[in-house]
Amino acid sequence: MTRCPAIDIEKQLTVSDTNSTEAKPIPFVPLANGCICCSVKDVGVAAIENLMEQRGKFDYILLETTGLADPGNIAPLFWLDDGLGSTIFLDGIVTLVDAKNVMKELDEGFGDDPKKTAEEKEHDHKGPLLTTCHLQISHADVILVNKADLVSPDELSKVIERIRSINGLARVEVTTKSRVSQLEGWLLDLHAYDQVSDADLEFATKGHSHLDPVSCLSILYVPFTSWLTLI
Amino acid sequence: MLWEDELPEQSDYEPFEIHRLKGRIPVRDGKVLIVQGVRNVYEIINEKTVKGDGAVKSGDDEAKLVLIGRKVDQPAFRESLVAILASSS
Repeated sequence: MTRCPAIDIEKQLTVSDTNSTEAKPIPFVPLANGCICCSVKDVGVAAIENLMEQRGKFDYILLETTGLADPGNIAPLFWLDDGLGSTIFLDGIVTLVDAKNVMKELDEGFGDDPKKTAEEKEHDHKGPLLTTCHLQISHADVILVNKADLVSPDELSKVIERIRSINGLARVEVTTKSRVSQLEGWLLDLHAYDQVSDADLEFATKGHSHLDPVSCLSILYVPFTSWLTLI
Repeated sequence: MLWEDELPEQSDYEPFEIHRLKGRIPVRDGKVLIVQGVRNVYEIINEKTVKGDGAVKSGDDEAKLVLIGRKVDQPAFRESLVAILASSS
């Protein structure tokens, strides 16, 4: 592949209509490298792909975000259409939860930017607060409930119940000092955006949150009959 | 619904956000569709079956969808989704 600096080689054209004497510029969108794939892909994704081309393919890439990241904004960038022929794919999202502080984070927005919390309260003053913690839990495929040694068993089970009522799809593991029993299936090789088994969905039918603005809805539908069950 | 954040044929509902979606939907020719979504990006793929595995699995005739998000548990949302499933089966 030829490497060229990304400059726009097309000059802006003006076109005149045969019926008028005006010459107007045609609106056009400059494409990075003159390629629609390069423009559609996020700059970060393109940068990773370029790096792999130069250094050889990585086995795995772990992207660690800030504590205030909204995974819902990031995941769609890395979950690429097959048609773009990318060498990377989104394996899944892991969220690390602080068992000691999570309830405060969910109930009060503890740790969030106070301005953002105030805006949220104004936006939906009748309902429970939507916090960054809610977003990080709702988008997760794996949730590690960490610092389990700092809470009592009773507190721990309340935390797990609250988390599962927000996100019934994610796998939940309890950890201390962020240690997982194994990497595969918990941090690596999640295949969370791959095939979905019946078992994956069966577990998610339990639990539903009344305390939180984010919750789970499960629908079971038997086609070809007129019988429906809503869970 | 996913792309436009609107519920078709429903007039009175609160604004909602879909965060994550997973589903298994059996279709008429015996295949199963897998639905995956995050926010308003989603994908529908065919379920991969293991060669020679012709055994009927549990839940083969049931469509299951799980959605996680804001205000997805409101009645209008459930009704709308079920109406779509019913009309397309």
